[in-house]
Amino acid sequence: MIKQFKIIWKKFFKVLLSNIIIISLGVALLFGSMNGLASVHLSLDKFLEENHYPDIRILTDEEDRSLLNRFNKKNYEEIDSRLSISTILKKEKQIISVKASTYGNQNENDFYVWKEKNNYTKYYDILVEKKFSENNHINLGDTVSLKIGDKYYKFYVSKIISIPEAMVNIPINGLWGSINDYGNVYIHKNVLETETKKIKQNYYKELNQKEEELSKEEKSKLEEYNSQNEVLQKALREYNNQSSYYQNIIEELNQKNNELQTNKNQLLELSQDYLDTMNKIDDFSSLIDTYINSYNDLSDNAKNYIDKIIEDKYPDLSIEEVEFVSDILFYMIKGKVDEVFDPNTEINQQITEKILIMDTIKVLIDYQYDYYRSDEVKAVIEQLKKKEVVEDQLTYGMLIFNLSLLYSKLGEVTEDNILTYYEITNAILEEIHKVEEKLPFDSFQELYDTLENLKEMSPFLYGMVKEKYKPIIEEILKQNHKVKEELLNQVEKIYQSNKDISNKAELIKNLLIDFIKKIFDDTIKDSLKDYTEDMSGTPIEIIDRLLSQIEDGTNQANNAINKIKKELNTAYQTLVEKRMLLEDAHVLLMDSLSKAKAELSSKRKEINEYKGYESKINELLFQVKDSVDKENQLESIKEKELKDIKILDSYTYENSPVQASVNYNVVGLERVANITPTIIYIIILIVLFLFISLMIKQSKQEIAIFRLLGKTNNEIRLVYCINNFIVSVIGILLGFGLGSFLIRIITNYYRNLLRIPKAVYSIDYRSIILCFVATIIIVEIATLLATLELDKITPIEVLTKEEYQKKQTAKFTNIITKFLKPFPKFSFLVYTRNKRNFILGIICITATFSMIFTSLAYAASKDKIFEEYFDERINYDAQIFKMGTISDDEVEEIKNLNYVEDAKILRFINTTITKNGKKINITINAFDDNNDYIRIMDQKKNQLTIPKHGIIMEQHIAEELGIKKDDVITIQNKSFKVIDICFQSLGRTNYISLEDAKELESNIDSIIIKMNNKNQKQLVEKVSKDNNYLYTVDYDSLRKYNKKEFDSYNIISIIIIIFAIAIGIIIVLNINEYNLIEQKRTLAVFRSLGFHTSEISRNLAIQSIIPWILSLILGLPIGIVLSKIVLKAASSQRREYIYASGMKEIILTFIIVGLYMGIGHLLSMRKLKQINITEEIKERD
Amino acid sequence: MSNMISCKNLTKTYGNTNFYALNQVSMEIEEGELLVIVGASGSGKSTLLNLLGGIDKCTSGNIYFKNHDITTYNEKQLTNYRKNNIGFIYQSFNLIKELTVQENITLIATKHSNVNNILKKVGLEGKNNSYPQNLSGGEQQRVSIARALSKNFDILFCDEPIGSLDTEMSKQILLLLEELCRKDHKTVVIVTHNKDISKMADRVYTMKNGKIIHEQINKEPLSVKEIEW
Repeated sequence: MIKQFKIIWKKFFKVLLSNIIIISLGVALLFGSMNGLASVHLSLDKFLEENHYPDIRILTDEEDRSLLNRFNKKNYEEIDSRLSISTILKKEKQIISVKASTYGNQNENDFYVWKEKNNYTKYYDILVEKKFSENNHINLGDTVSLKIGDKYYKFYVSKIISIPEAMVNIPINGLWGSINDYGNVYIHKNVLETETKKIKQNYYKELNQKEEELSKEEKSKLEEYNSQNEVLQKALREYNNQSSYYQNIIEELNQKNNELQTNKNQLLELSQDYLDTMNKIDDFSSLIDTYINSYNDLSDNAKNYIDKIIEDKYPDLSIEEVEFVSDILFYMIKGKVDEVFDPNTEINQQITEKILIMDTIKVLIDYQYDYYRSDEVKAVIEQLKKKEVVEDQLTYGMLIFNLSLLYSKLGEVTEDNILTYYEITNAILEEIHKVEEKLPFDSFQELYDTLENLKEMSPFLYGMVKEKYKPIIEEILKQNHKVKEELLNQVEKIYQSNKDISNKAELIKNLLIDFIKKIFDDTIKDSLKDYTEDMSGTPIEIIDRLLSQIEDGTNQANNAINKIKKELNTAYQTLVEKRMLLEDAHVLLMDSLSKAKAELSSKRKEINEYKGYESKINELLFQVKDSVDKENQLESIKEKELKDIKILDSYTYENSPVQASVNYNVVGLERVANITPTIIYIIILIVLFLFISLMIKQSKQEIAIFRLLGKTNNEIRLVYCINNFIVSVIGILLGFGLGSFLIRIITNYYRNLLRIPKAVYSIDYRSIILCFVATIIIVEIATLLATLELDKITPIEVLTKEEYQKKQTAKFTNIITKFLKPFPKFSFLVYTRNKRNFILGIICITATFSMIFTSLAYAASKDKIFEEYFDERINYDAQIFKMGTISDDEVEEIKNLNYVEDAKILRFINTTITKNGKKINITINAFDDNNDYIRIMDQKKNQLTIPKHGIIMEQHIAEELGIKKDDVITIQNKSFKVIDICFQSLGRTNYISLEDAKELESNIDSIIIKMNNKNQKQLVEKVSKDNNYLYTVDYDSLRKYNKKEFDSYNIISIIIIIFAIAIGIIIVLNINEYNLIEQKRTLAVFRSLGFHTSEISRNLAIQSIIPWILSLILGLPIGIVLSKIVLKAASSQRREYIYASGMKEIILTFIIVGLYMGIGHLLSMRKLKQINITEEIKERD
Repeated sequence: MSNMISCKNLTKTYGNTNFYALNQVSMEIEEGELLVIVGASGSGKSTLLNLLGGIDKCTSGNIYFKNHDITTYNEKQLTNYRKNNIGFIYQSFNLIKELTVQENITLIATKHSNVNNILKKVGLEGKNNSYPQNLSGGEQQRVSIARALSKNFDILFCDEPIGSLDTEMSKQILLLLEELCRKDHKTVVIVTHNKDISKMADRVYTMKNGKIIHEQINKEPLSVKEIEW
């Protein structure tokens, strides 16, 4: 048997070596992936163990450490708490969001890192997580600033450590959001507490200061106000004084005005009087003219007329009396009254007697008495009274008498009484009017009328022409000192003239009228002297001038008054306005002071409640005793010790975010790693079967000889089985060695990815057994299947080569090769001659094609979901997160930054939903305008719009819960109609409007921002100064970071592709070699005929081209199916790998397969040169 | 007649052994002659043929083909030498069984070769589409000769051409070879252990233990028909 092994090994060393390699590859993959992933988990466990990662972790916002006192420490290995805050770390110009945690301990002098005493006594030491420090170039010994409250405090980087939490991308409490440089640091717990106190104190101090300042300001402002008010009051008083003064002035002016008005009125009156008088005088002058004219018109016949009138009227009168009376009358008319009415004459006495008997005397007595005061009249009146007369007659007689008396009194007419006479005459005439109504004599009317006309004239005429009265007139004229001599001479001349009475009368009239007018003018002027000294012009002119002056004066006064009033008014208005302004300012001031006070008061309240930092989480950490079930213990804690505490989150070691993060990252790999070795082992089975078959085929002669020598097939089979057992053992051992490298690669890869500081490699003995057993089984199955050929080998046929020679080409291949040239035809026929080998070879190549395609499909899918998530869905540049609610003002503030184009609120609601008996956690984004910022799409890439009311559910979640479109679901006891279904390969976000979001509880808000200038540092700087902002996310950086992470998964594809290529090359090499061996002699013949090795190689290439093309035809559909299976297996709850392969992957796979086939062909064709033509072509013995 | 091929002090050894397949052999082959090399198995005649045919390389010595020393040729030059100048036929025919008669012939044929004429010449008219395994030994050997004829060789080396054939077939082949030499004035070298063949040769080399021990010139070589087999 040993010799048989020797023969086999000698002859088939390369094939066996190939088998060993394939086996080792398969084992390496299986062994490596199993133990690699196990090592990852172990490394994590070790890491967590070294960091004493708690068994139970409970997150609350209750800061009080005395919570720990609720627990019985005997039940636990260890209990502690620590605070963590989200804050900002600065190093030089870098501004980074971090989570700063503390560790609690009893001894203030020591700084414990959860059970590990580090003995760092420096108060401001900071421990920085390793990966974070590398990413952000924070080195040991650096000084950094950490924001606590509103201030930055300097810390010294005293150690770079590995922290389990750094493996978790999410900053706090399961909330979405991550940035590439979000880090974890540790500081002394006292720092937070002490600093909090300090901060509080500082705040109080600041507050007090502010209050003081406010108070001072208030006082100062009030003083200012009072002072201004005083000034104003003073101004007001001054105004009032001035106002009074000016009012006085106005009054004076008004008075003046009034005086002027009075004067004006007086002047007007005077003027009117003057004018009236002048008019009267003119009228009188006209009247006199009329009288003169009438007198002139009087003819002698008038006397007769008068005679007749008297005769008719007074038939009792004698002719002499009539004559006498008519003469009197006529003389009266003509002005010869004086001659007639001399009371001492006899006629006059007779007339008087006559008159006395008339009734008229009574009348005369009655009214004349008042007018006449002359003794003569009185005497007459007395006399009349003594006699009883007929009233009428008396009246008449008296009238006559009166007139005569009047005429006799003409000499007494002076300038003073002229008017009186006129009045008297008028009065008499009035009386006559009255009397005449009673008089029965119609004809008297005529006389009367005549007398009427003469009434004025006669006295004047008489007076004017009577010599007797000339001196009087002269006297009158002389009394006026202004009268000139000339005037007197004129009077003299008139009287001396021979002119008739009417002419004289006219001249005298004119003279007198002028004189009267002048005297009147002078009188008026004298009156006007009270008003003016300028007496130039006529009185009317003077009066007009005065009136004009008065008018001017009045206007001036009025103007002055108006001006004063206006100015006063203006001044008053100004004062009023000032006052109003002052008051308004005062009100505003009071308001602002009031507001400031209110703010300070509120701030004081805030400070009282101030804990020192926002977003703090208090983590309670427990390590339980070994026998305790962690889940149950956690539930117990929640129900008992922490019943009254709000628990934000809690988890055990197994379901911690760290574990979840690791699982999340490796689960896909795990699944792929489970499937791939299976495929590899199937390939190994096929390949080994093929190779062993080839070996047997090539050993036919030896086998025939053995058979001839008496060995049975089973014995021969055993040889092969044992031989292949040895091969598999070698392969397995090599595989273990190779697998160990793979373990290291996988472990280190994930260690780096997940930030596990140290790799711990583990080899599960079960994996060794599995690899061993699986491999042996597969190899032996292949061997047994291949050795079934042994039964077909008949020694005689082999030795006589009859069978060999009888082989003919199949008809179908003849058809195919009809169009080929001889050598390629030969090449094709030889390749396809052994159908089983041909098929198996195709299967192997196809399998590698499928593996490569699947790997590329995985990479394509990964890229696709990345692109879908980061490139298609998100269309904003940055995002700021905040605990609580972001106000519109805050959004406006961000919008107003000059590098920000626009900003909108995006709210997060993390909640649970139960439907159809299933309960799952979901994330909802509340947003109002998605089309520009977030593109929500369904599976067919149709863009969806967030409805005003209702929810867009994510497809996977909907499917999981059995929810369809138009269903109504309940979230936090509110109903929502499912308006649409969106599709996300990565992430599972649901969408509602902001309006609907108001009804739901949300604890985190964000602002999504489009930026003009993508300088995220400015934004971070800005938000780091504000409170309550958790962190910012710069999408460029996030995308790059995640791209890097996503791209890192390519390692899976790369490993599988390398394996596939390695297996492929081995298969190709071996098949080609087998074919070469089979065709050796023929190839020698070709060589001998003069074919170059390159020609032969080219023609034999068909033996590689055929499987290459067939691998595409067969491998592609298999690859598609396989890739879909693998993608499904690699998908997790939050990540669905969608099939996204296209021409690129097909072509790439085709090229890769082509390349390795080409390489295999070329490598195997090197053997052509090694063919010894002479050896091969000579007859075989 | 001029020398077509000559060799001088040709030696061929295998590995580090002292076994000389050929030991200082010098000889010439004249153009147009029919040369027969006889010897027992292991005398080195096939080795000599292989060396002259450019199939194998000598350990030492020189081989001149038309005054070109082919021992200095590299692999490519030797292949060209074989392709353009040498025809080879073997005892086991070495036909490509996957190809038809015509395909075997045209495998290495020049552009000017007329397969039908060649087939006619070798007496295989109408056998174009037959496969070697369907032909008799003699027919296969004729195909082998036709294949050589298709490339218009300068010299035809025949290594035991009738070793696998019966008498009748052997005669036919020899007649063909004779015809090639006598009528077509091709240079033919036959290596055989059968001394009867040497009667038809112009010259006969006898080899033993890797050396030419005797050279015989036949002034009047016999034709195949005249030889008593």
